[in-house]
This record gives sequence, C-alpha cells and structure tokens, in this order.
Amino acid sequence: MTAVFKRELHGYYTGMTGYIAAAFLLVFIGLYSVTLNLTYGYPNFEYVLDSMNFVYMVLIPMLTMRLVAEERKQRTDLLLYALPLSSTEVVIGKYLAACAVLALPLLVSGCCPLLLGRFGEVNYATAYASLLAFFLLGCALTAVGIFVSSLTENQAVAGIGCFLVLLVDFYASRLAGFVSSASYASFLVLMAAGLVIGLIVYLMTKNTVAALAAALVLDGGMLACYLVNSALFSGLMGNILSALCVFSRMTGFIDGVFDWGAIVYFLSVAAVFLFLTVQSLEKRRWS
Amino acid sequence: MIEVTHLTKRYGTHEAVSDLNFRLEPGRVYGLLGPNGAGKSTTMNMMTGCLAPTEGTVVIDGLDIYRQARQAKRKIGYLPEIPPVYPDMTVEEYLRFVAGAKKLPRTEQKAAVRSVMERTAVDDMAGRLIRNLSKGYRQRLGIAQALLGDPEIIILDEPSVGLDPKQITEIRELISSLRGERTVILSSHILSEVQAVCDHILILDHGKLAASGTAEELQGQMTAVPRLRLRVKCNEKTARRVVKGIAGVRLVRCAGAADGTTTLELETDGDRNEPVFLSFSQAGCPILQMTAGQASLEDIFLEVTDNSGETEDTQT
Repeated sequence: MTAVFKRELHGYYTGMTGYIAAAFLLVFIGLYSVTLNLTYGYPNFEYVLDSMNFVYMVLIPMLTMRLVAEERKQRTDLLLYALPLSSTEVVIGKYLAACAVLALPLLVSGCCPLLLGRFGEVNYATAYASLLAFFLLGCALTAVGIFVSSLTENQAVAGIGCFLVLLVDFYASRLAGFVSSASYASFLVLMAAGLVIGLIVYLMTKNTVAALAAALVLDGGMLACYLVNSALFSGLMGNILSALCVFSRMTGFIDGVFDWGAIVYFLSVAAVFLFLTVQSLEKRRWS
Repeated sequence: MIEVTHLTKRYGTHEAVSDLNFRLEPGRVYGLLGPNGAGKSTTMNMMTGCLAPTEGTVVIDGLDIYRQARQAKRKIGYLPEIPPVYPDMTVEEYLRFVAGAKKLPRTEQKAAVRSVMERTAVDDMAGRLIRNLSKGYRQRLGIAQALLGDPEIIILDEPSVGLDPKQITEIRELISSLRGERTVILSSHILSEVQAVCDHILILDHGKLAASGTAEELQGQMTAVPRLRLRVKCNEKTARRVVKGIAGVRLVRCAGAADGTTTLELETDGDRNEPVFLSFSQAGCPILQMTAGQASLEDIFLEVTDNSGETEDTQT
C-alpha cells in the first residue's frame, strides 16, 4: 500500500496535476476570501468554503480521472495484479494519495482564519470544523471519482463521466424542490428505477433469471407498498434526491454545528465507492 | 514447482485455453511455444494470478495462486507481453517502486535495484525517464522488474520482442545464467529462440497442449520417417505432378518461389534418392539442391500446430 501511495504521489507531483490542483483550490479560496471576508467584512471563513464547494466538480475529476483508467491503458494493471498486493491495497494506496494532494492546499488555507483573527473576532472552531468538513466532502467525492475512473480505460471519458456525476449530485438537492411531491409520480419513477436495476443486473451477469428476479422483487415490493399505503410515496422522490446530495451535507458545519451525521455520511460514501472500485478491479481479473 | 491442472479459460463460448495440465520442475528453463493466438499469454496471465481461470488451478510450491495469492505471488516475477512500466518515472524510481511493492526490506532495496539494473544492462539509463526509453530498454526494464527480489519462478512473455540481435543474445545469456537456481518459463512464437535456451518445450495450439518434451524428445518422435528436401527448377504444379508419380514418397510441403524454382519436402520410406532424381530429370526439371535429413523442430512445430503447414516455407 505504501509503495502504491508513494508512486501515485510521485505521479501527481512530477506531472502538473498536483500543482494545478493546489493552485486551483488556493486561487478560489483567495478570491472568495477577498470578496467575502475583506470586501464585505464577514469574519467567517466557513462562508468562503460554503460558496466555493462547486470547485470540486472540476477539481475531483482532474485528480481522479487518471488513477485507474491510465493503468489499464498503459497495461501496468498487470503489474499490480502480479505483485503481491491485494486490489484493496492498490485502491486504498491510490485513494490516499489523491486525498493527500487535496489536503495539502487545504492545510495552507488553514492560515486564512488565523490571518482574519488578527483584525477581528473569528470563531475558530466553526472555521476549522468547516475546513475539516470541506476536506471530508472532497474525500467522499474523490472515492466517487476513482470509481468512475475504474470503469473505463480512457482518461477523458473518466474525467467527463466524473464531472457529470458530480454535476447531477451538486444540483440534486435543488432539483428536489422541483420534483412533483405527488405519490404516484414517485411511485412511477421508482418503478422505472427498479427496471433499470434489473437491466444493469442483466448487463453485468448476462443472466436473464437473475435480472428478472431483481426487477420483479423491487417493482413487486414497491407495488405492494403503494397499494397498502400510497402516502408513503408522497414526496419520496424529493427526499431521495436530497439524501443523495453529498455537497449539501456541509450546511450544518457552516451554521456552526459539528454534524457527526455528516461526517459518518462522508466516510460512508467514501467506503462504498472504494468498495465498488475494488470490485471493479477484481471483476476485470475474473472476466 | 508449478502444477497446472485442468486450466481452462472461456470467453463466452470461445475457449482461449482448454484443459491444460502440466508440471514444471524447479531449476529448468521451459519454453511455451505456439503461433499467435494459441493462448500463451492467457496461460501466463493465469499462472501469475493476473487473470482468473474459468476452471482449474495453478499451484506454486503447494500454494494456490488464488487462495494464497500473496505468498504465491512473492515467488513469481512476471514480465507481461507489454512491459508494465510507468512513463512518468525514471528507471531507478520505477524499480524502487516495484521493490517496495514486493516488500523487500528497506535496507536491501537499493542494492537489489542496483544489481538487477546491472544484470539487465539498464544501469546506464538509471536516471532517465521511462517515457524517453526505446522499446529495447523498456523490455529489459520489464525483465529487471521481474527479477527483482530474486523470485524462484520467472515468467517472461515474449522476452526478446523489440530487442536487437546483440540484446537478444544478452537476454539469452541472462536466462541461461538463471538455469539451475530458478525456474524460468518463457513464451515465444520464434522457434529458434526456444530451441536455443529452453530445456523443455511445451507447444500450445488453440489453447491445448499439442506437444511437450525436450527438443531431443520432440525430434525423436519424428525421426522415424526420413525426409528429403529439394529445390527444383520448375513451377509448383509440375513439381506436385512429378512427386505424385514416384512410389514411396509423400509430399509434406511444397512452395513455389518467384524465381521459377520450387522448394519441396518429402517423406520417404527408406532411401528414395535415385527414383526422385530420375523422375525429376525425366520431367525436365533440374534439381538444384537435394538434402536428406530428419524432421527439424520447426517441422514438428508446424505439424502439431497447423494443418495448413504444407504451404509454409522453412527458414531454419
């Protein structure tokens, strides 16, 4: 794991990626800090972080698109499979390297609240807890990015794919407001989702029985629920969408609440997507 | 020792490797020979744990390559078909990475890297970015990576591809120097290469083991039938017609060349030199060359791997 970590870190900083990522983050932090803290005079560094979390939509694809896709393209994945390393070690090594590259500029930005503190009253706890949340949000999204990268051998496809996923996720909570809260609407969408899951199962296993079973169980279950109590579905679609929005989890920290739920949420998202990445690597060996 | 049992790999309905069984003894050099697409790389990928077999097992010194992957993989150094090198690293950095991943003790890493660089003659490129290296250097770096950590088993997929003749000789010497202490398995579609370095040859064809044995054993299977090689000044059609008229000979191979000559290979039941000579001279086709000989390894290779071998040209 350490070897993979070192090699990826080396890769980030011998190329431009690591520096560009750092510069990108710091420029945005600087811009927003100048605007919000200096021009408008808010002593809250957390507002800066809250307003600029959209930069992750560009930054995360940039950091992660190469990670697994490039190994496949260069055929170096065979080396990783042949070395006495487990796929989990490989994925975690890569993931931690990406997180480290993310952490570095954020550590630098940790100076901002201290600087602001010289000129006024700054709530350090809120500022630094928000910084931590901002970093963990980045870590969660990095796991999503590494998973997308493991699905293709083309860096560009991985980058654009990751960007689109993050874009949808970024707007998910806003979209939730527009979704019809009628129960039949949620019901229909979920039924369609059940069919899509069935299709995915079919594409991955080529097993018609398993796919039909998955679709039938999901859709049958939902139909039963709907018939028994249709009120369950009222507003469900909106709730699901906002639950999926990783970006919006930072709000608590901005308001000065140390939200353990959000921390667990970020870590869970990271764990789930890292697990999926490991499976994706293993699948390639077994297919 | 490597034991391969019932190794099978299926892609959909296509069987890339079907029911391979063999046992490789330590300290010998094995050659996996076969035409392109015979399943050599697939077999090697399965033996190194890079690819999971559909059926069957690979056991390295009693360790299953999937169940006890970590311990088993420590015993193997593998050079895949395309050298797995990172273009953004220098030669030395790359080897340090592999040494770290192979979990060599930190204090020994530097010396180990130095020693494999010297063995594969890449030490003069130590500080060079891999991106800027030629195919030959990348290939040797791939071999260096496989040798790192002194694994007991070294598996090389087409090790001499992209090397110039001098480098090929060096690599052969390197492989020969490993004989006795390490088990080496190399694949190739070039027969002379396998013949030059391998103690034991496994011929693969369409995913099946077509023949196995030492070069002498394989040749021994064929020497019972004497062969006659001819170069005759006539076209292919005439040559075939003439051969048909001679008793006791069978046409193995027949190829017409652009310069109006035809190369033939005949299997004879005993000494048929005279009737062959007379028949061709009667047909007005001068014999330019005639050699009696035994089946070469190439003949065996062509015979076990390809049924259309009759039209193949010999270049031994």
